[in-house]
Amino acid sequence: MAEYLYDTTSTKWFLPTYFWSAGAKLVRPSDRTTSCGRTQKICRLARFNGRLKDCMQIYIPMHDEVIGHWYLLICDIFHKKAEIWDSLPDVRHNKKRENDCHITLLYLDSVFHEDILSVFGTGWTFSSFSVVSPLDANPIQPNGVDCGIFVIRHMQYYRQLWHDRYDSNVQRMRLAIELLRNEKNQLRDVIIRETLKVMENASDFMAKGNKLGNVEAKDKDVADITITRKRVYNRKQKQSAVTIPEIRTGRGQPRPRRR
Amino acid sequence: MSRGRSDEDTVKLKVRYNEDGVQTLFRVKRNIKLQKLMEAFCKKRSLDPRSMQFTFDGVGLKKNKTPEELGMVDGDEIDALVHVGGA
Repeated sequence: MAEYLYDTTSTKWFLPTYFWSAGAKLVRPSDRTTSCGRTQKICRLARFNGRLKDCMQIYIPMHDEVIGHWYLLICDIFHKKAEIWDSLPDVRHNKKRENDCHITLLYLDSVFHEDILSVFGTGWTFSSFSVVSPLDANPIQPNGVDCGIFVIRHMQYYRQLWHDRYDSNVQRMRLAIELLRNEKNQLRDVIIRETLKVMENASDFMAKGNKLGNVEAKDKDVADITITRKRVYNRKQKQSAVTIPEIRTGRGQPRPRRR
Repeated sequence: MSRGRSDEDTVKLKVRYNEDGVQTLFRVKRNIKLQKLMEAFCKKRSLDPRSMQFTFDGVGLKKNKTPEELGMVDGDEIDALVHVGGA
C-alpha cells in the first residue's frame, strides 16, 4: 500500500515489517543507540524526519517467531497508548508478544530520539505508553493463514468494520486488485495492458504454453516505465523540496535505479 | 579474484547478514550481475536465496543490475535481510 507508506504528509506512519524483524528484534539493550542508523537506513525512516509533531499514530507490524504470526502494534501518540491488534491471541504467547511490544516502544524512543526531544522535550517516552489489547473490537482470523491480511486491513481501516462477513478468498482477491489499481502503482497500466492482451489471445497463449516470451517483453516495458516515472519524480522533488521515494506496490516489481 | 587483475574493473562490496551482523567481503567485477553475488553469498552462508531480500541504502536490489549501474564504490555495504512469513 504505497499510498500510505510513502505519503510525506500523512499523520499516520506505517513502518515496514523490517522495523521489527530486522531492527528491534535483534537489538540488545546495550547497543540500541548504535543500531538505529542501520534501521533508519533499512526502513527508510528519513522520510519521517521532523514530522513527529504532526504524527497521530504509528503502525508497526510485529512478528511472533515462535509460531510464525504477524500482528500489529499501533502507537496512539495523542492518547499515549499502544494497542496490540492480534488476530490470533493465545494465552501461551500473549505475554511474550506484550514484551516484544515493549521492546519496540523502547526502540522507537531510540530511533526517534532527536525528534522526541525537539517536539515533546525530555521525559516524554514511547516506552511509558500503556500497552493494551482492544478485546472488544479485535477480530479473530477464521483460519491459520490470514494474519497478514488482518494486519494490512487494520492498517488501512483502523477501527472500521472491514471484517464484517469476512471471507479469506474475497479479501485476498480484493487486496490484489486494490494494489494493482492503486493510482500510485507504477506498473498499473503495463499490467492491465498485458492482462488484456493475454485475455484476448487466451487461446493462443494457452496453446503455446510458453510464458517465457511474454515475461521477457513485459520486463522490458517495465524497465522503460520505471525510468520515465523516475524523471517525473525528480521534477516533483525540485518543486516541493520534499523527498518522494520510489513507490513499492507489491513484490517482484522493479524499483527505480539508485541515483 | 586473482591478484593480477587491475582494481579498476573490480569493486569490493560488503554483504552484511542482518540476523547476526556478520559481514562478508566480496570483490566483484563492476559489470557482473548482482545475482551472482547474491548466489555466492547464500551459498557461503548456507541460506535459501528465495527467502532473502538484499537492499542497498534501503532500496531493494534487482538481480539483473550491476554494481556499475548502481554506482557502487569500494566498501559499499549491502544488507541481506530475511523474509519472514506468518500466519
